[in-house]
Amino acid sequence: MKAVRLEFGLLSRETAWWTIAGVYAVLLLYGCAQSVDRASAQQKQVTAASSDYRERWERLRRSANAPKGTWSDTRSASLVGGPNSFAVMWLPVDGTAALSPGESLRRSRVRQVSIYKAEPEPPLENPLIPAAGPFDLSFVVLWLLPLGILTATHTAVSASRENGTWPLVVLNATNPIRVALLRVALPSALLWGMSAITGLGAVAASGGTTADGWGRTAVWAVSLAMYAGVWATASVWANARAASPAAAIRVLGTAWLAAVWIVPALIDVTACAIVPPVNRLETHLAARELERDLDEKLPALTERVYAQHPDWRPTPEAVAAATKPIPGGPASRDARRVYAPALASVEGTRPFEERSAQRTMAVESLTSRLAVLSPVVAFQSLADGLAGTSITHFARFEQEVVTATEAWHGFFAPRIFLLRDLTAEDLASVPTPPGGQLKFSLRDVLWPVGILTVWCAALLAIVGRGLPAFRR
Amino acid sequence: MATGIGPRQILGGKAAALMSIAAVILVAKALLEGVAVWQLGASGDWARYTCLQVLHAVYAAVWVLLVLGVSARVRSSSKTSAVLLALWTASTFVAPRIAGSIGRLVVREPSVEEFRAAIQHDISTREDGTPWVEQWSKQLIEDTLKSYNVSRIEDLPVGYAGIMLKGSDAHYEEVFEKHFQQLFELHRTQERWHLALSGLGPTMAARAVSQGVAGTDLAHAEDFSNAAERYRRKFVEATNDAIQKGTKGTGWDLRVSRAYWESIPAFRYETPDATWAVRQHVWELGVLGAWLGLAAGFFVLSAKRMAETVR
Repeated sequence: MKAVRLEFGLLSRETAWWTIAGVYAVLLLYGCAQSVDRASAQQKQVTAASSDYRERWERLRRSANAPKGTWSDTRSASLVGGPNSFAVMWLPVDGTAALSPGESLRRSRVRQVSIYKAEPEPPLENPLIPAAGPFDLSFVVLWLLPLGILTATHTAVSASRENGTWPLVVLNATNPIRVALLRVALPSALLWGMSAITGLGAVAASGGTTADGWGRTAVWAVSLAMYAGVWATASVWANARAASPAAAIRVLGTAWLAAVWIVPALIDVTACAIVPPVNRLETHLAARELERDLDEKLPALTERVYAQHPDWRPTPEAVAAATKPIPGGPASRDARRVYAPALASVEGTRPFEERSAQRTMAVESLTSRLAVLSPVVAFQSLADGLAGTSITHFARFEQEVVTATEAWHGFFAPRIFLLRDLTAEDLASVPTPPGGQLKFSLRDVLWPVGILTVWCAALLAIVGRGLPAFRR
Repeated sequence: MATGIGPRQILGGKAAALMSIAAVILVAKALLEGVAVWQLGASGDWARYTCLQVLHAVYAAVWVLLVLGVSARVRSSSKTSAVLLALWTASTFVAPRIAGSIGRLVVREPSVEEFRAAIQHDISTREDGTPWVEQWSKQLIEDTLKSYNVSRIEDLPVGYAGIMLKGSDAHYEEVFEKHFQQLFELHRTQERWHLALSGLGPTMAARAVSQGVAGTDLAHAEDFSNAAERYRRKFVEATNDAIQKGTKGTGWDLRVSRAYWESIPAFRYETPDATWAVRQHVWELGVLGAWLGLAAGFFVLSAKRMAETVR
């Protein structure tokens, strides 16, 4: 305990330490503000989308009792199930979202449920911002915490070696190895403490979370300690084994650069090379091919549906009413002309969508395996898993959207093919998509936690052999 | 020093050595890029290629001078490495992210939902709060019937659908133009924040000019997007015109010949020349020039200080 107090006193008199801690604190607070801001923006987006959905549908249900009588009649099944009357599903956002890497927070958590193809809309942000990369809490702890630990511990350990006072420490201290370890552990623990407290603050400032969410935040803080431990151990190893303090900082700098930048980039490139992205152009061309020569294809498309569902065939009166020209409007209100091609388009592009979803999961799986190569990628994947912003969470959510869309088609398709206008009762019984749910499982984060543990254990084993160097 | 070589000669020699190393990397990079331009590029790309090589040489010179200046000033070699690592990290990773994010913190763009709702509101509602389509439709029918001197839409010698589509498209375009211009203005304000903070390090300015010269910056994206929008409008106008002229009364069904589609010119986009690209980044070029001057001044001062210390 006396040694801790002594080393703490020495550290508090070190100008370099205060500079590093001060700069880190400022960057941490700025990153925290950005994360809270991003999480709040997503919460607002979800709130706006859900209230817009509710209001639109209240208006629609009211208007069913007072139809306008023109070709924009909202009772038409194809209009109600269509692009302006879509339902909305969203993936909830709680305070833990502030812990997620910024790139994940750019992904929209709102999806449209419609009988027409509805792709998630990209955010309206300035392209300059994603090009530079986000500056958030996750960036600070993933990139700058290691750098802070490496520079602070290097200063604490190597300063004595450089100014020639280390031999005195070796002579006077009962255990110079313990002194060296303390000089690494103290600044590392302090920087970790600052980060963990800021993380807790970010979750609280982003609207707080449930008991389960606070549990996940605690797992994040403990994992962060392991992550900090990996870097502190690496620092001990480099400072013990390097020929000189200058060599030590070069080794540490290179290791940092490789771990935070080069290896993650190589992992990304490798994953994309092994599982190449699905060409979006192919999807668009497939959809366009289906839309070509529609007039010729239309009878075949509708007949195909009637062959599968004979009870959906409309009465001759309904056909006559729907195909009667409307003054100032289209020659027909036959909703099948719009819906049948849309249905064919959805079916035609489904293989591409499925391939794209499979590819996303394959990349995620490959990246998580390759995360063994870098504690940074492992911690990033862990933060994503704990904050509910991982690919797995989004994939589960997309599946819920697919199920809800199928229910939506199931409701509207018979009404459209029967050429029936929707009644107020119909509108009241339109299936409401369930709210998306954030489902957490410990299994989602076991792999990255395992990787961090292995990194810690491996480095500790290597460091153990190098420690006697501090006796010299 | 013991051999009689002065600090200036040592620093000069080190500068030459570092520049030689940088030159080897720059030449290798230039050769690879040259092959890419030769294989894939257009004729005007060589001017952009030359600009890029000059820019990268200047950027390398800034770092060589900074490295030597710091090395000459800081006595401990481990501190030199630490300071340079911190400088490079701050300039390359921290400053661009701060500059990018601060603009968004100060000037916030609307969410997709807010943006869509605002557009939808302006499309469907007039300034006085009454529904747009009813009033407009009524007025258009009245005006059209009067101008063709008929009493029913069915009796019009032209297709009403074409007239209606022209009118509604004009309204949509006006609304879209208004909202997208507002959005672009927000982006430009954010960009001004970015530019104001580009002095934090040489990397941001170099990257912005580099993107500009490569044609992947905001200015190029906007130029392309405007060209595509102009083409879209002409295409829609031509189609609406064909509906108006090719149908009668309430008719909607129109069949056009192959000659009609061939009469619509294909979309062609000419990438602006290198001068235009460079002109978009005068500020960043100034910042990079200032960094070169600062680095050179710092190097000279550090060399002088080193010489005085030796004496």
